Amino acid sequence: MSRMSTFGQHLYTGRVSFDFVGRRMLWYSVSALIVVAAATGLFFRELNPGIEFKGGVEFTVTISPTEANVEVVRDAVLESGVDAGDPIVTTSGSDAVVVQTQPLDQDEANQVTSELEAVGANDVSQERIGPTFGAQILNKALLGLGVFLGLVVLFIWAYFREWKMSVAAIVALLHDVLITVGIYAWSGFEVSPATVTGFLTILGFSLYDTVVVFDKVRENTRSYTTNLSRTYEEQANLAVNQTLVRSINTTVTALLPVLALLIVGTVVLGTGPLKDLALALFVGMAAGAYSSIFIATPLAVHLKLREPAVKAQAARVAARRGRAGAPATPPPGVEPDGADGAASPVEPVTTGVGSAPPRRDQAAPRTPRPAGATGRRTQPQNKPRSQRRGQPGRSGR
Amino acid sequence: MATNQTRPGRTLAILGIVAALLLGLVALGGEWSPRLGLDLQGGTRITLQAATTDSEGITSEKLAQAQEIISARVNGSGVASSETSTRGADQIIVEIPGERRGDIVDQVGRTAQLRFRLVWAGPVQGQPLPEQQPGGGGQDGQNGQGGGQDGQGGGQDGQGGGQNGQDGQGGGAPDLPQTGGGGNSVFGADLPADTGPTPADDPTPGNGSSPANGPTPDPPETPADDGAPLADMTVQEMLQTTTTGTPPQQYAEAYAQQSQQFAAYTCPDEGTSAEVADEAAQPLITCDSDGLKYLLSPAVIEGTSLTDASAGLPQASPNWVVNLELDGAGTDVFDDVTTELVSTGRLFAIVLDGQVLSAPEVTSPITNGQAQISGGFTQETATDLSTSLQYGALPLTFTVNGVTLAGPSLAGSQLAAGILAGIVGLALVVVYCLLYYRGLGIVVVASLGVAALLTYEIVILLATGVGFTLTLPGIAGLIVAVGITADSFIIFFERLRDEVREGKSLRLAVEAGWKRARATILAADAVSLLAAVVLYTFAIDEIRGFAFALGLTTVIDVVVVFCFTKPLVTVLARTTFFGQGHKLSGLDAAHLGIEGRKVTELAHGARRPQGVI
Repeated sequence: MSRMSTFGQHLYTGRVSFDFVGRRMLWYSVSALIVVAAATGLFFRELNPGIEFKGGVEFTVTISPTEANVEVVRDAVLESGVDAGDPIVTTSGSDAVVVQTQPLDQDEANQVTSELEAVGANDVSQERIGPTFGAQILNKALLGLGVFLGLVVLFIWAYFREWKMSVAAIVALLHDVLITVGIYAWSGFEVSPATVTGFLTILGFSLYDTVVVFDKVRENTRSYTTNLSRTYEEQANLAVNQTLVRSINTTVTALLPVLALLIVGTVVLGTGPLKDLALALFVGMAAGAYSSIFIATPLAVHLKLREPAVKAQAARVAARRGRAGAPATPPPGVEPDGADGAASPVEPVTTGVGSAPPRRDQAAPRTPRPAGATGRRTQPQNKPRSQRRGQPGRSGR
Repeated sequence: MATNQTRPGRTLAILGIVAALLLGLVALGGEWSPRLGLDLQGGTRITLQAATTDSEGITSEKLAQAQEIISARVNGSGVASSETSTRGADQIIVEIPGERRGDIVDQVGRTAQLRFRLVWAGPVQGQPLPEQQPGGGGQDGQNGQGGGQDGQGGGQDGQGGGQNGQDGQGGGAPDLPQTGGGGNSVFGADLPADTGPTPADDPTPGNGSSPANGPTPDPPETPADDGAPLADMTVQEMLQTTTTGTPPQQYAEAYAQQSQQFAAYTCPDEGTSAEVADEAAQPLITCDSDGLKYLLSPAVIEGTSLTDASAGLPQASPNWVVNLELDGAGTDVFDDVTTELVSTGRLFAIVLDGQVLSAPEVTSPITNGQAQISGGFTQETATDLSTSLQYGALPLTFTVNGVTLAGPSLAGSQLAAGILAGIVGLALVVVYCLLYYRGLGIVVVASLGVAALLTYEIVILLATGVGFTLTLPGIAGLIVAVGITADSFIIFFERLRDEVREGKSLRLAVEAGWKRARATILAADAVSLLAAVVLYTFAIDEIRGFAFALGLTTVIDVVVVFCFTKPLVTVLARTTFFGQGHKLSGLDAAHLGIEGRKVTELAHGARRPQGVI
C-alpha cells in the first residue's frame, strides 16, 4: 500500500504522469467501443422487464429451491383451477421458488396461494401488479431523468461558471447511463423499479466524481494566463493525475459496499431489489469514475482549447520553452509556498507544483534556494514536457 | 481557522452532547429497534389508483376523504394495525404489517357509491340470446318465495317484494329471464309494470327479448341541440317521466337519445360488472348482476344521504338484506318518490357503483326513511356491503394497482440479507481504509462509527416521530452510503497528504488541506443531496426508502466530517503518534512518498511560521 502512496506522490508532482487529456482521441475511441459493446446488449439481449412492467402476479414460495420442487410448484399452480396462463417458475436464491403468472384477480391469486401452501410451501408471498403500474413507474422515471438532467446542468453551471464543463459532464453522464443500461441488458437481470432507481442514482454518482475532478482542474487552471510553466491542457492533465489516487480510493470504497449488496442479493436472495439496485449502481459507479477521468475532463479541455485566451497562453508557453532554460521561474513558484499557504488559499497549488521538483530532486535534496532551484527545475520537467510538446498546438488548430 | 487551537475539543464535545441528547430522546421513546417495512417483517400492501367519475377531477380533498373512509374500512375488517396514506396526487396505499390479508383487497377499494334512481325503462334482457337454456322450472320456486315475502305488510314491503325477483335470480340464476315471455313472469308478482306500456316510449321491446331480435323503432336521430339536457330535470319531472313513460316536452330529444342508446346497449358477461360512468346528474344505462338492463333517471337520492347501514336477516326470510336509514332530506325525497310510485307498478332502482343492486316496486309509501336492499346476499356479502356503506361512499373510484402480500419467511430472509450485506460492506471498507491509511484508517472507522450512531438515532426518532419505516431499499441506501461517507474522509485525507507533499508541516497541512477539501466535500455532498431529493420525488413508493436513506446519510456525512473527522484529525495531529509521523500512522514520510524530510518539518525553502511547531 505504501507503494501506492509513493505512486500517489509521483502523480502529484507530475513525475509520473498519464496523458489523460492529450490522448483524448484514444480514450474517446475506447469509450465509443465500450458504449457500442454495451448498446449491442440492448439490441441482442434486450432488457428483461420484471413483473412490475409486465403486469401479472409473482408468487415467492418459500420452499427448498430444487428441480423437483420447481415441478411441484408448477403443477400446483396449473392444478389450482385458475387460468394462470403459462407460469414461469424459477428458483431464487437459497430458499425460494418464484412463479410468475399472467394477471389474475385477487380471488384467483388467493386460490393459487392456498394451493401452493397445500403442497408444502412454508409461506407464499404475493406481488400482484396492475396493468398501469409499469407505465407509471416509467413515466415518473423519465420525468425524474429530465428534471435531474436539467438540475445537473444548472448546478454545474452555477458551480463552475463554465458551460463547457456542463456539456462535458452531461456527455459523461449519458456515457455512464448508456454503458450501465447496456451491461444490465447483457446480464439478463430483470428490470424492476429498483433498477430504474439505480439508473437514476448513477446520474448523481457520476456527477459526484466529475465534480471532484473538475474542482481540481479549476483550481490548477485558475491563474493559467499568468503562469507560463504549463499550458492549460497540461494543468488540467496534472489535475486529473493529482486526483487519480483519490479517484481510485473513493471509487474502491464506494464500490465495495455495493459489491457486498450485489453478491448477497444474488446469492442469498436471488430476486428482489437488492441485486437489481446493486448491479445498476456497481456498473454505473465504475463507469462514472472512469468517465470523469477519461471523458469528462478531456472533453472539457477539448472544448476549452477553442478559446483564444487558451490558445494564446499555449503559444506563449511554447515560445518560452523555445528559449530553453531562460528566465523561467515564476516568482510565486517559491514565495508563497508553505509559508503563508494557510493564509492564501488560492495560489499554492499551481505554485506548489512549480516548486515541487527541486524538493524531490534526489541529487540535490537541499540545494540552496534561488539559483539551484531555478536551474534544476527545468531539468526534470523538460522531459515529460517534450513528449507532450506540440500537442497543444495541434489541438489548438 | 485561526482559532483552531481551541476549537477541535469544543466541537467534539458539542457533537458528543448532541449524540447523547438524541440517544436520550430515543430512550424516552422507549423503542430501540427501527420500524421495519412490510418487505422486512411481512404484511399486506395495497396500492389503489384513483380515477374520477365527474368533471371535477381528483382533488386533494377528495383523496384525503377517500383515505379516511378506506382507513375506517380497513380497521373495520379486523386487522391488528394498519396504515393508510396518500401517494402523489392520485394514489392511496394501505399497509397492514404482519398480516397477509388477500381477502380484504377487493373490499377496501370498492367505491360503494350508492344512489337511488328511477327506472325509466327495463329491466330487459341485456345480453345477446345465445347459449342460455330456458330452464323453465327454476324461477317458479323462487317466485313463490318472493311472493310470500311480498305479502308481508309494512313500509319495506315494496322493496322486499321487489327484490324477490332478484333473489330468485340470485339463486336460480341465469335461465330466468329467458323463459319465453318469462321476463314478465319473473317479475310478474312484483312488476305489473311490464304488463302495461313500457315506461320508455317504445324502443325497448320490453318483455325480455333481446335487443338483437327486437324490432327497434328508431327514435328520431336529431341531436339534442335544442332540447334541455336531462340533467336539468327536477325530481318531479323524473317521476312524471317514470309514471307516464314520456318526459316533459323540453326533454324529449335527450330522452329519445337515451332510449336509443339503451336499446343498443349490451350487458357484459355474467359475473363481470358493467363499466359505466355513474354520474349522479346524468341518466344511467346499466345492468344488474343477472344481465338485465335498465334505463335509469338521474339520481334522486345520493348515498351521502345515508345515515346508517346494517346487515340483517328479516323475519321469515332466509336471505340477508342490508337495511338503510336516510337523513332528513333523503327521507323527504324518498317519501315523495314512494308516494308517487305506489301502485303504479313503476320501479325505482338502488344502484351501487353503477350496478343495479335491486329495482323494487313500491307497494306502499315509505315515509320514515328506512329502506332495505336485498338481492342474493349471504351474511358475508351483506355485512361487507353494509360496512362499505356505513363508512361512506368513496368520492372517487379506485382500481387496485398492486397488491403485495409478503410472507414472514421471505421478509425474514430479506432482512437477514440486508444486514449481512451491511456487515460485509462495512467490513470491506474498514479493511481497505486501514490498509491504505493505516493510523488514519482508525479515524475513518471512528467517523463511520459516529455516522452510524447518528443514523441509527435519527432513524429511530423518525420512526417514533413520523412513522418512518426501514425497508430493504432503505437498508441498501444505508449500505451504499457507507462508501459515500468514506469518500468524504478520503477527499480530506488526500488533500491533507497533498499539502504535506507540497511542503507543509503536518499540522499546517491539516488546516490547509481541510480548507480545500471542505469546498469539494460540500460540492459533492450537494450533488448527492440533489440526487436524493430528485429520486425521492420521482421514485415509486417501494423504492423511496433508498432515496431517503441516501439523503439522510449525506446530511449526516456533512455533520460528521465537519464536527468529528476534522476536529479529531486536528487533535491527533498534535499527538506524537500522528504528529511525528509514526510509521503506522499513515502520515510517515515514506508512506507519503516524500523524501528528505520529516513530516513535522516544513519543506526546504518554506518559511517556518512562528510558534506552529
